[in-house]
Amino acid sequence: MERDFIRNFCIIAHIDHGKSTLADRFLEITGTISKEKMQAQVLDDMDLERERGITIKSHPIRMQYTAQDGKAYEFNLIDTPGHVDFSYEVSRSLAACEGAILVVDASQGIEAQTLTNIFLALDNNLAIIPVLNKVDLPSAHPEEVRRQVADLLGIDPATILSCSAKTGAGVAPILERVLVDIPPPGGDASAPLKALIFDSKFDSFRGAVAYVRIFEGTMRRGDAINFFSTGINYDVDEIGFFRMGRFPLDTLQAGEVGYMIANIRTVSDIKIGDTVTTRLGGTQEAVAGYREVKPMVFSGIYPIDKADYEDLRSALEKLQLNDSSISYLPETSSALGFGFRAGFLGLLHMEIVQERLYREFNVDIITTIPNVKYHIRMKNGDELYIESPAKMPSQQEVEFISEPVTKLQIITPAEYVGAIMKLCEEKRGKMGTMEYLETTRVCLHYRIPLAEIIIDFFDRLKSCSRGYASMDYEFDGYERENLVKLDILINGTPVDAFSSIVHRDNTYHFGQEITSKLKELIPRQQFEVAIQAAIGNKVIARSTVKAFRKDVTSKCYGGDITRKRKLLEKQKEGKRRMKQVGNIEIPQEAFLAVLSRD
Amino acid sequence: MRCSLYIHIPFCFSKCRYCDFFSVAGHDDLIDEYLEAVAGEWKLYERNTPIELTTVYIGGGTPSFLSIAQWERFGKMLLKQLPCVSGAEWTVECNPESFSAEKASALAAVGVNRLTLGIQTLDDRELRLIGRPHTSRQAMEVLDNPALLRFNSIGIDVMYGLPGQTIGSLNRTLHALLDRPIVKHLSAYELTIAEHTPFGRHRSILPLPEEDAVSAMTGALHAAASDHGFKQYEVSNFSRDGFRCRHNSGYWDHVPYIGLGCAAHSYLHPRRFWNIGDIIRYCSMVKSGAFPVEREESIDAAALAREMAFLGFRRNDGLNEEAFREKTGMDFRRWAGEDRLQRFIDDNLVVYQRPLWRATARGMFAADYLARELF
Ligand SMILES: Nc1nc2c(ncn2[C@@H]2O[C@H](COP(=O)(O)OP(=O)(O)OP(=O)(O)O)[C@@H](O)[C@H]2O)c(=O)[nH]1
Ligand code: SF4
Ligand SMILES: [Mg+2]
Repeated sequence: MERDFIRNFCIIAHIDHGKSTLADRFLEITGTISKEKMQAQVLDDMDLERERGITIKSHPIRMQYTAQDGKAYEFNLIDTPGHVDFSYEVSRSLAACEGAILVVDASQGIEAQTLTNIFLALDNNLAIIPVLNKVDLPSAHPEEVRRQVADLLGIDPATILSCSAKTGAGVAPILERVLVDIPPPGGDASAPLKALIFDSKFDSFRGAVAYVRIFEGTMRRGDAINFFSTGINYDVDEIGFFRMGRFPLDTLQAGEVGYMIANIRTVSDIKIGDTVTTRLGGTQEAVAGYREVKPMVFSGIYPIDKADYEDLRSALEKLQLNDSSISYLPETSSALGFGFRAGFLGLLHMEIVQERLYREFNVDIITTIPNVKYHIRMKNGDELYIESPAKMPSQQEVEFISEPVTKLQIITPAEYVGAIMKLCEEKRGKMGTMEYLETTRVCLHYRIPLAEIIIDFFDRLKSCSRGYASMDYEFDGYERENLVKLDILINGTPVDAFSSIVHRDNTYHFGQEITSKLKELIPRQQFEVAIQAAIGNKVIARSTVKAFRKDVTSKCYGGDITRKRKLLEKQKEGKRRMKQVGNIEIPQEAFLAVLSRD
Repeated sequence: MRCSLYIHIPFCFSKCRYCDFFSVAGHDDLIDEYLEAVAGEWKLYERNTPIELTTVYIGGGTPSFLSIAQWERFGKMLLKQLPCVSGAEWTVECNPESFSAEKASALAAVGVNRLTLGIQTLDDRELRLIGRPHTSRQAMEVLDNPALLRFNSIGIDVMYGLPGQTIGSLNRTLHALLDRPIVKHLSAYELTIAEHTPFGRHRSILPLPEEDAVSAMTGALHAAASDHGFKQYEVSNFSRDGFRCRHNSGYWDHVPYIGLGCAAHSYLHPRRFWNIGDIIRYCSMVKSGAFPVEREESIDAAALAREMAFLGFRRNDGLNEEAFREKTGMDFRRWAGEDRLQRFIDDNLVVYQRPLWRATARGMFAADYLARELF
């Protein structure tokens, strides 16, 4: 296809503003998907996405668009996720595009990720087409939102389109706008090959499927290729494009978006952001890669069943190919055995990875309390970073601990400002500026420790603003704080998986909370179980799980035998999912529950 | 086919507040039709195979709630024709509020030779709190009734861990009852609270004894039983020598049994099945000539092994590894794991005397734990 007839663009927005629904309408209008196959948010094809109603992965798809000029164009669309944890997916997709449709929910207005996404698009020099969505809602106030958006982008309000992705009203003109406002890709199909891997997926039959954007040259089936960063060679087995599945082609040319399969089984051979070229006569210069994503939240991942360790390793490897933002290293815990310490972009991301490991790879895991990466200055002058509280040196040797701090921005209706300020204060936030986006909408800026927002901040924010406030944060350096390591001892043995690093002012409260929570969650055993929270040698909170007096039911006659056997079988199944710590059985929920402080 | 027979009578004078059994109060108009249906259900079995009954157990609900006339009719319709082997044990559950010498005679006349009495406690306040309709005085009058002498064995049911109950009141109940030479069997149940009962709904306001107190009550129970010459033979069952309940022991030995009536369970190896728990539908199904079965399962070797294990640890007789092999085709030690069994022995939960694996007194309190470990 002639480059002039290609447009590469993505849809970006704050979470739930209707990106995937708008993509549905595009697919319908262009006849990419038949009416019978259509379903809401059809591109969200992972089970998890459908269940949660959110987009997790970027989804590329190619459409044939016949424009008003009567000519056929190739539109490469990428639907992106809106949740803050997945903004790296967005930024990667942006690098494969020349333009972005910025969707803004006309009933909500500009929210925190709307801003973040605008900046990402501007950083990537993309043409932005703002669109007001959900104008069918009675609560929509499109004129006000139109003014906000125009102000923010410095454009004429009259040029902003509005639509209802749900009913389809106003959607068709957006595609015409894509044609006019987004420039066709540059590049020369006869130049040496230069392609960017912007995403990948693991297919158990075909190996890694790389999502590529060709910037220069042409990629052909059978090409002998070379990865820039690793220097590894492969032969291209198959190339093609996505249209609700993979469609093979003979060539992909400069300006196009598609996929490449090269029987890549070694997952570490392929890196997102890497440049692909041909072995002979290839390009000398790489595409500007991505800023490496830095995991923000760390937690231990352990197989529930020891025998699953190797399965877990290979599952993580494969998952990493689908999601390059996961990082992990082997780790050993005295309580949990062999496992990994993994880094995630946020709590939702962590939850999703856990679910995917279970569903897609069938490994049952336990995750430990999430924490941030601490910087430690030792008395002897040494400096180190730790990603696991268990690795924290003893308090006596530590000069001080610093923790990561973020710049947090919250956009909220003015009436909730009081409640939000109280929340931020409780979470050790330091207030910066506060500005009015309009008379009733406020943007608050805080500096706040990352550790305080990864746990339950978002939920608390939502509940104290009745769901109206939105937030976004970015890393803003390390700051020295009065932090200590809090250990949890079970019958005198510290369980490293329960350790955490907390602000000294919160230790007592936190210790109480964990010990009483664990008391509820650790089932009775044949002996008494003491649960203690301690800083160094000093116990600051304690609870006890009494021993079983009796673990047998009174009655068991003819009608009870089946029921009783099934109950015991069910309990046994529950036991299988428990972790043996010393001679004590701790259910998975205990590990999870400790995560949710309140 | 030799087997046991259970007949469920799901009618009561009133509904006790903890009751989790399938029974109704205030539907006396259904009784006659129901008894006919039970007789009809029996015919469905009899038609297929010749049967010999080794034990019969009529439970409830409250079987003694049926009037004398109803018993007589039921006797003519069904009970008198039951093909019992000679010496068969035949039990009927009776509650003090509906007991009378005449009714006892009517029962004896159809062949009943064992009664159990649902006394539960002799403390009137406790009786009221759990919603039993009788008084302690009525209970003692039943025990004094010479009609009881017509039966081979009298058993009593007692409960502990009741709201407002103390060790003292439990001891008074136990000693007053076990003192009677006529009482040969004791079933003692700790109160368990099922969710969908009035107790389940009001659990938080019940003056339940503390855990330590309940555990002391368990101790008191065992002491009282042995003081009076009763031996424990199952978690909740004690008897004087030679007076164990053979019918219930059959359940634990996986002997085949037919259950007649609403919600009754049957086990005819390898099938275990149970009847629908709806009196009207039960009656109409039987009338239409169909087995009123709600669901069934097939007990394969794996399920049988598990059942034998958890039942075995509940009993003084323990688990017989030879019977285990015979019934399941598996080797018990291999199935259970030698090291696990050794751990049980080391922890003083289980003793082994070839061919029996038996829970110790402590182990019997942890029978579910033992079973879960082995499953
Ligand atoms: N009334 C109305 N609802 C809409 C419209 N567009 C989307 N929605 C609804 O808004 C919700 C979110 O839509 P999605 O398309 O999943 O939003 P998204 O932006 O893709 O969400 P994420 O991918 O999770 O960030 C769904 O319940 C849609 O049905 C619209 O134009 N009008
Ligand atoms: S007498 Fe027995 S079956 Fe009837 S209500 Fe009371 S406990 Fe339930
Ligand atoms: Mg979406």
